[in-house]
Amino acid sequence: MTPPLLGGVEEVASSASLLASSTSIESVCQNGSAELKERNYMGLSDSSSSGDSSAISAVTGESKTSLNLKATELRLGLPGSQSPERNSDLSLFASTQLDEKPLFPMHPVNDHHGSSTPKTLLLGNKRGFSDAMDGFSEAQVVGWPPIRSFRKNSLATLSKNTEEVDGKVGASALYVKVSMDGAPYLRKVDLRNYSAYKELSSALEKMFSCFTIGQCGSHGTSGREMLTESKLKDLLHGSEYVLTYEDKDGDWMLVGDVPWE
Amino acid sequence: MDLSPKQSSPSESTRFPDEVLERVLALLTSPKDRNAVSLVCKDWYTADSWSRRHVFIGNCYSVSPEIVARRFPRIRSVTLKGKPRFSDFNLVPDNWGADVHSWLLVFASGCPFLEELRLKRMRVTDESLEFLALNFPNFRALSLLSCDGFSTSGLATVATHCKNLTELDIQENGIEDLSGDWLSCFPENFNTLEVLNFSNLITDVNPGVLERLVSRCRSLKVLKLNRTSSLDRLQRLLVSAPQLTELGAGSFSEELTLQQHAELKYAFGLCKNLSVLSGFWDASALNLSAVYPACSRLSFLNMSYTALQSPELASLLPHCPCLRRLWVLDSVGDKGLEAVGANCPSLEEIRVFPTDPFDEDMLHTVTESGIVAVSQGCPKLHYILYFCRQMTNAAVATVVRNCPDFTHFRLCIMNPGQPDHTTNQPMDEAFGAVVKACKKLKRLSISGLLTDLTFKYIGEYAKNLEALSVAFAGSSDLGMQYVMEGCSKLKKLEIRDCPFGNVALLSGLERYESMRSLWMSACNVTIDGCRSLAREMPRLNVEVMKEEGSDDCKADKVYVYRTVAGPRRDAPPSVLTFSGL
Repeated sequence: MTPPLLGGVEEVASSASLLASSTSIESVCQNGSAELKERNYMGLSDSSSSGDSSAISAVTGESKTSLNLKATELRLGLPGSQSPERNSDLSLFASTQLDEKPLFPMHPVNDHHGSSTPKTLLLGNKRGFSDAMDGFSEAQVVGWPPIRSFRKNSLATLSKNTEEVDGKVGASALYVKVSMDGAPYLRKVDLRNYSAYKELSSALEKMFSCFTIGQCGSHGTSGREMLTESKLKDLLHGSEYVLTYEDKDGDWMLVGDVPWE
Repeated sequence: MDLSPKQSSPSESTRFPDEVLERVLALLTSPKDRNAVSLVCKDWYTADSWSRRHVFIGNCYSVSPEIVARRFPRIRSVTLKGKPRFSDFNLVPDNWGADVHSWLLVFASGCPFLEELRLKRMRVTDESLEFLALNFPNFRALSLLSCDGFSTSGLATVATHCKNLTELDIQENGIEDLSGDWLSCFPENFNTLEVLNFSNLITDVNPGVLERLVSRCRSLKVLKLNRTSSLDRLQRLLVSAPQLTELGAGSFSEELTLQQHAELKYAFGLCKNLSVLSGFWDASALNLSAVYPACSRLSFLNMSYTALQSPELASLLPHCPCLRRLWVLDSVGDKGLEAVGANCPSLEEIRVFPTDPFDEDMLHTVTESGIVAVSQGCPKLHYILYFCRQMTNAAVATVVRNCPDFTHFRLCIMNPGQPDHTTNQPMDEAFGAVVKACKKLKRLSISGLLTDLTFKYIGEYAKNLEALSVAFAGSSDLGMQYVMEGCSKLKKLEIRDCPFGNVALLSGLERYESMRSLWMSACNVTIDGCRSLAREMPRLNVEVMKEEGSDDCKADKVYVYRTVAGPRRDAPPSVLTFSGL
């Protein structure tokens, strides 16, 4: 009886966790209000935004970014591809935590593979790869490139390329819709072009500068300082605009709490 | 002493008292030297046997535990390696063998003074760990690398019962991680630990327990945390153990306040003796700057678990003037490698791993420019492991012209059979350049589009080659023949997905008994070929791992090794053993 390995199976689970963490920013909206009121993207103070927000969610794809349980199961694929139905026995549950932080999904696996050899297990993983990545025959070669399981698993959570974004081909763009209260039209930004919240907010600032005479909110004065209570208040009171986004649950969240990655 | 030839026999005139001989031999520690010494004469053989303290067994099936225990009854330390290296890449079935238990049973009675056990690619169960902990009263050091079969419960028994443990080193194993409680099993008064590496584990250990353990163990030199260890914990541990020489940080991505960052930086500054830094899963650029004060004596930096970008690396390297070994991910890009070339004049080893091995879009990658940049700035380079998606013959030739002292040259062009991307030619000339320029080359891994010409070069020039790794290469049996004929010092040969058949296999008859092992998978070898080999060479074990659904006559995976222990009896049904005996 083989005790479950932290080897090959973890690899796949790790990507699922990454998926969970990286798709937390679905749409970014700039609210004109100083309060964190729930708003739909038309800027109307409508507390029951869930109906509309799902419409917004649809912008960036429903099944990918609404972090349902399915999304936390093993998902490997190119952006834009629907993940195939998974074998239940290959799914590892990141049981309780569906929050945005990249967690370590390497929970011990209860052995439901019985006598299957690691090769079978690996083939299962690889099938997942090749199903989702059409024509990537390389992924079907067992044991190539020659990298140890432990490293592969660690790398899988670092890789920024396994996110799924609806409709966008290639791992090169993560577009989200941005709207500003009172602006006549919306913009789209590619989140991949930025490496920190500050960059994103300056870019948005520039993008929407024609619509406002006030200063847009930005986060922190240097580097990535954690938003403490007092800083948050300063921002809210000191600036006219604040970056918010709608997460998987349909809640309006202040941009900046979650690590950029 | 009267040395007149008529009166004294040669053995009398040269005989030392045994004690003296043993004292002298004890000064020889290298296994190779010891092996040579033992061949001189019977007296020396005996003296070596009694005085040998450390045994290195590169293939656990090449010898039996009984033979080892009988010959070296007083050994203190054993290093044992089991499965073929390709098991690291899932090419070997799980139940293949290499179980350590039979060794422990024999050693418990035959080598009771055993203190240290270092295992690589062995199967180790919790039962074995418990047996070890209970039956070797002097046991002090356990190192498990790339092993599988055990859980954290096994670690708990070691922590509970090994009163004098100095080393617990758990690395890259297939371990069942049930809970972090094992660490709490060290008794409250236990304080002898010098090396603790649990970077393999996921579940969090009880934070208070770790802190108390570290503060008790004043001789602790090596501490490698696991991924879930927070920065907060790290800061406290560093303050408590500034004497560390090797540190493996845990996660490094948390957002810190200015205050926390300053405290962490201060803690790192206390560590004046750090020569090895590793870990750093998911390091953020900002947090990395906290590490700078600890880098002045750093000789080995392992950043291969975090996708460092080139500016971050460029900022970090100037703080590490003594760097000799560097491991990174290809996220640093060619620009990052240029920074290496510019800042690391003493560099001897570089390893560049792929961030995303299956990424065809080449968003994270290094190219031939990167490796050339390193070679230009680091003339002392002698070890390289480089994963890339494109390479040219000219670049490799430049690299070895800049650094002719390579002992280990491992190049992995990740797309199988890929030619030089500028000329579309095979990569033969690249490896030709390597073997011609690097006279001291001991280990070579080749990749890319390669014809038999590569092997001709290797056989002709790589006269010191001991280990060769080949994948998706060659045009005919000739390729392997060149190597078997030319590389007289070859010890390990591993081949996968090459067009080498029985003729190639049998061309190595003269060679296999002086080698540790041969691996051939997805080649053209048949069962009959293996049978012939076994018949010709009775002191080799020839094993074939059959895959489901393959032809009866095909030898899917072949593993050949010399042995004095005869065919093994613990092979699973999927492994066919052929023996000439």
